[in-house]
Amino acid sequence: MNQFLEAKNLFKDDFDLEGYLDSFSFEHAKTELLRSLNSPDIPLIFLLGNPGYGKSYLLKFIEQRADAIKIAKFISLPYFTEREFLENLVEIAGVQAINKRYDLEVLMKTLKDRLNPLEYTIIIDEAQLLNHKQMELIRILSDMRIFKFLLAMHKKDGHKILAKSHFKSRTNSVIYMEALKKEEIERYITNRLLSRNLSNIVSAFDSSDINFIYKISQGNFRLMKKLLSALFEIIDVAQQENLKKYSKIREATLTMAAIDIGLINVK
Amino acid sequence: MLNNDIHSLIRQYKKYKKQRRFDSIGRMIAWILLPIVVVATFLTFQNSDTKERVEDIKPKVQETPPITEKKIENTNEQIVENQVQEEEKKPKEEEKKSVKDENLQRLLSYYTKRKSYSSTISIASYYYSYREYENAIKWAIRASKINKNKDQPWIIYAKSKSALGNDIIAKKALETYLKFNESTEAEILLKTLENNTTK
Repeated sequence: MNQFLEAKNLFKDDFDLEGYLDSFSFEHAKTELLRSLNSPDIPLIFLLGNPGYGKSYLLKFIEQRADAIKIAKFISLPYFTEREFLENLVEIAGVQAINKRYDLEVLMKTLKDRLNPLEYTIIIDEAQLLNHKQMELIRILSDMRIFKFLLAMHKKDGHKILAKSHFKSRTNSVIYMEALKKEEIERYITNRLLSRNLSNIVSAFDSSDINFIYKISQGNFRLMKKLLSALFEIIDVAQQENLKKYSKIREATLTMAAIDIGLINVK
Repeated sequence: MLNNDIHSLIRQYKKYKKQRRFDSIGRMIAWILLPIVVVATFLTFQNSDTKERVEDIKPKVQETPPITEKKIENTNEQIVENQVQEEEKKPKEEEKKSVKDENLQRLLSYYTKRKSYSSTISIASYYYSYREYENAIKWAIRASKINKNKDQPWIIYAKSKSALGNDIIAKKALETYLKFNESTEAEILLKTLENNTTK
């Protein structure tokens, strides 16, 4: 495989945990998350950050690598009815959905009797999409210490929810994910490429290229990966079509990648 | 998969480079024009000041005019004199206005050609420098729509609002901006406004 094509696949927007990003923000958020998940006193954890800062990636990391954490359910997109949600939870407790009867109190009692307090965690990504009723249900379940909840959501929406009186006073943990720093971006690119012995490509980057990537992606993990993936694909295509001017990592190809993923708008 | 064909990307890249060149020329024009406008305004004010001072002295010399019987005539003469002076002033004000209009026209025509951040913010700064705060606000909003992260539109917006006596909105705008961005200038301005309020 062409080395640029291989590099492109390395930066696909997926949850490949091999390329774990050991940035300060990631490490800090990970440590705080594990501490909160292991704490017997924290029923509700909020993971807040702007879109693309790596919340979903970190949740996947927790799901797959944190063996000590008992995860009852991982919900990537919270599109569910309360009925489905509760029935699913009851099944986790080893009960056959009580003849599919939708009685909130009975379901809650069953869960409370069957499970140890805060033994299981429910992870919900994109939790800003939860409606008021769903949010209220989560609040009740965490208040009754039946489940621990880890809710990842956009920073703005998280602040709005936390500002509501019934969440304000509760014992919960709020963890923030921040943008990447320039050095972290550089280290990520280098480590990721070196993991596949693509040192030729690593040496093709100079400091102005890293500056460009940092500025245009604004330290956003997802955008940075998308930009690099597009960059390597452009170079690969240019090499195939013998467009020598566009066959290297340089300002032109980086700008073209930024145009392709919509970071630069050409009118 | 790329969202665009490589040849289309190359075309867009070349177009973008051209736009950037235009933008930097626009910025240069704005940078050249602004000091000229400031200096011109300063000189015009200074000239009118010296003139007033000279005129202040003149009457003193004439303060002790020979008492004549032509008091009424004298008054008439003074009126005529004042009229002449006012007429002399008019062209200068018009001149100042025409320089301003000309510069503004240039900026506006550049904006119609290229609706970029730099052309928009130049107009906002221009209006602000002429104390046309309503217009400065209008253009600062436009500039911030083009580039949400730049602090300059917010700063001009806040300064103009404050100049119009609306410090609360000015502070709110800066607080909103600082929630999502970092800007020492915006922070300093916000602190200044807060200090003004507490005083």
